[in-house]
Amino acid sequence: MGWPFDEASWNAASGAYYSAVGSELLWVGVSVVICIASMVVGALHENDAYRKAEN
Amino acid sequence: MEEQVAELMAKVAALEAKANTTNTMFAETYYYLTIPLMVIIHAGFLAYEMGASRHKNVLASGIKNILAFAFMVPTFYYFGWWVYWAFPTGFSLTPGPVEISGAEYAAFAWPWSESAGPNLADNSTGVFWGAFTLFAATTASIFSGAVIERIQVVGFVILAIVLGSFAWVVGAAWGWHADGWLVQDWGYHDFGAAGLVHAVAGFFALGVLINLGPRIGKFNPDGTANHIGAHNLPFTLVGLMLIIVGFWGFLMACVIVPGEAWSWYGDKWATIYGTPMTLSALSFNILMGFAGGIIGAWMITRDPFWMMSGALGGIISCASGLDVWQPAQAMAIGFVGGAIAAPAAKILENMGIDDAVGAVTIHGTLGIWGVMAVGIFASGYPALQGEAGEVATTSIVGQAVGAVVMFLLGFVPGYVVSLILKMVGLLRVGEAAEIQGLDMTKVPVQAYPEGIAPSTTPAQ
Repeated sequence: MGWPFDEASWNAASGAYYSAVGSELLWVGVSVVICIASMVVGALHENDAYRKAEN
Repeated sequence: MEEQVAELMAKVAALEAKANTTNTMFAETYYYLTIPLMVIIHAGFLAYEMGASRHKNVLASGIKNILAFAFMVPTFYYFGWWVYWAFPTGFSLTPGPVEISGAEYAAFAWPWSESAGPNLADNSTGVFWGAFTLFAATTASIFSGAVIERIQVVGFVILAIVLGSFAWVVGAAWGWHADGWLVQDWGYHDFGAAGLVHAVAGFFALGVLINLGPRIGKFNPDGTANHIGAHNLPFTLVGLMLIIVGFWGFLMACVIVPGEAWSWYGDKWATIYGTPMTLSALSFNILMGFAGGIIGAWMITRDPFWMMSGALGGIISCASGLDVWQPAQAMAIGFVGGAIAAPAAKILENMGIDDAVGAVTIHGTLGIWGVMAVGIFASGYPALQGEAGEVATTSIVGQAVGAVVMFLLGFVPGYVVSLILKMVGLLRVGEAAEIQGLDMTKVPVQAYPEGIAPSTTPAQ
């Protein structure tokens, strides 16, 4: 969304005020990628540990 | 004179604005506080599971529980919250009679909507979402204890997401939401979520346990069961007590605060169905159910594990009707729940199911008992806000339909998804890892670096 108001003052803020860099959709996408990637890495580490235990 | 009237009117308007602001802040703070209280449930489940594990698996059990919580939060943000608002009328995604459901209405619950982030015009969505997220995490924790000491972490996390961010949420949409078809058509009443949280999670665990199988050493070749003891029963008992502390937050979050645009009433508390209630009623009935559960379990087993589990079971037994019970009645219903818990768990064990902490029994079986108790003892009351004849009433048939639906919403996804995970090798740890212990296999630190002897048999 970015800064939704005309002037650079909190006085005008009244509704949604998400104002950081990037869109909401972008950050949702980033966090989804973090979740999926961490599960993949976790599964690889875990299976490696089980394989070592078998040997 | 006119000036004085105008001044008075201005003062009244200012006071009214302040009263509204105070009410909004109270409502926001009320639900905000339910969130840390429900986090105590997870502290309890963490202690409960780690204590119930053998010392070779203590930290692995803890890691599993922590990760369930961690993945539940974002996934409930991505789609769980949307499911609750979109699905009340079934899978058609159409709005219900109260018109606060369906795909179009639920658009506010998508994570990229204006309500799903900082918004000075919305003091409620975030705190409601937080409370619901903690309900979701509770379902994952319930399931987590049953499968300790032999499930893979990532497989478990996938199952926890299916349960916490979808299966129970569908149950909540159908049986909790004012537009829910179980509520509208069958008068289903489940105020404290005995069915839609506890039974769904308990029977989800059962579906997984069938595919996961028992721990090595649990059953002998002739089918008789060995007792696999908790490595730290006092820790488990304290964990159970923490869960009960957290239940106050859980049940507090089931109440609708008065005086807001989204409230049922301007001047009194209500259930999620819009039926009137008080926190006073909750206080009476939670404590009486809790006491009944402990006493019921004590009558049957004398075992402190089952006594504390009975306390939990007592509250779950009363949960669906906590808003309507007479307190002594709540104690009697809790007593029955506490008394049947250990024998019901034994029946399950005799069927070859290794439920390490009794989750299927305490949450599944007693959750169903809690739902049915409303049908048996509190039939004939309006299930929603409205005049007699205009809204569905509670009935034993409606509660039975709800109980069957909650069983299926838990068991079917639990069984199907765990079967798929089993087929792709993501469900159970290897035999060598299980015998050696999961802490030594995959955890980089030790729970007890000094003073505890290593296991010598598979059942240890």
